[in-house]
Amino acid sequence: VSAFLHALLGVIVLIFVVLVAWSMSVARDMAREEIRDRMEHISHAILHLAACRLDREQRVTIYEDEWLPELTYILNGDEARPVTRLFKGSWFAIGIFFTARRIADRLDRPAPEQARDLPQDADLAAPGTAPAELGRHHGRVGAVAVLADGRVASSGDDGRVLVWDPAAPGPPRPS
Amino acid sequence: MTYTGFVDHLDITPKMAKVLKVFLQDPAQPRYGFELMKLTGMASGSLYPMLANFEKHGWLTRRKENIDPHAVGRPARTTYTITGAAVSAARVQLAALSEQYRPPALRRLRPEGSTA
Repeated sequence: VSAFLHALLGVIVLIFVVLVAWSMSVARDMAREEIRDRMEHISHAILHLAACRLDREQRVTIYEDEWLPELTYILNGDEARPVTRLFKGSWFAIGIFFTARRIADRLDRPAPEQARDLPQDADLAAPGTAPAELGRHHGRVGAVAVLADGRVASSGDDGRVLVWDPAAPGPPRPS
Repeated sequence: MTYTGFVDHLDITPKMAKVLKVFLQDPAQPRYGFELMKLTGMASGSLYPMLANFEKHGWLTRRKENIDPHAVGRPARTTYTITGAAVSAARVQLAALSEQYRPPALRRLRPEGSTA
């Protein structure tokens, strides 16, 4: 009887140890995941704060088109270790935060040349009236074409083709 | 984005020279911001204002990389390419800068062992 009890006790202890080891590994994975998530949130939050220092138009061209994809790349990129990536991501965001205004001021210098880069809507029935600005590319415009339905398509150095509706100035549709 | 035409003389600092050198190694090669940070060892806080400055003066052009964000699983990043006019201007100015930083040649070389 005593031998049986010992065997039973042994099995119970074994099961217990396996359970503890398993739950610890689960807990460790969860903690790792959570830390990673939080760290990613921190760098995204810093970058978002940097974006708040820009005006609305620049938030698209600088923050959404450049900073955010770059941060996403750094956080998921080719750096060997996750902690290194998170550190680099936060470091990147902090640097950007402190110089956001300087970057924006340098890029925000409306030049006279820019006027001819804009897709514009001139009223052909009333020559001489001021053209309406529909919106703008983030680079020089290479070609403009009028579509059969009256809408206007333009392609630019920013690698995009945009379709404009002269009747409804506002954000264009990238296609 | 903002195109103000090409300004042919910029005051090049050593840090700017580092960045220009990367672009001159292969002028046709578009570079990413993070890539430049790694290659030059600069922080984003010094690199990005500099890139903006180069762009403002027509030395660099910015464009989105040509990928399908859904296929790659991340948004398209921005790349910088040096402009044709900037390639020659940068060459001239980097040469001038290196001339400026080069230590002067030793005045006099004495034969080994002589005391005079």
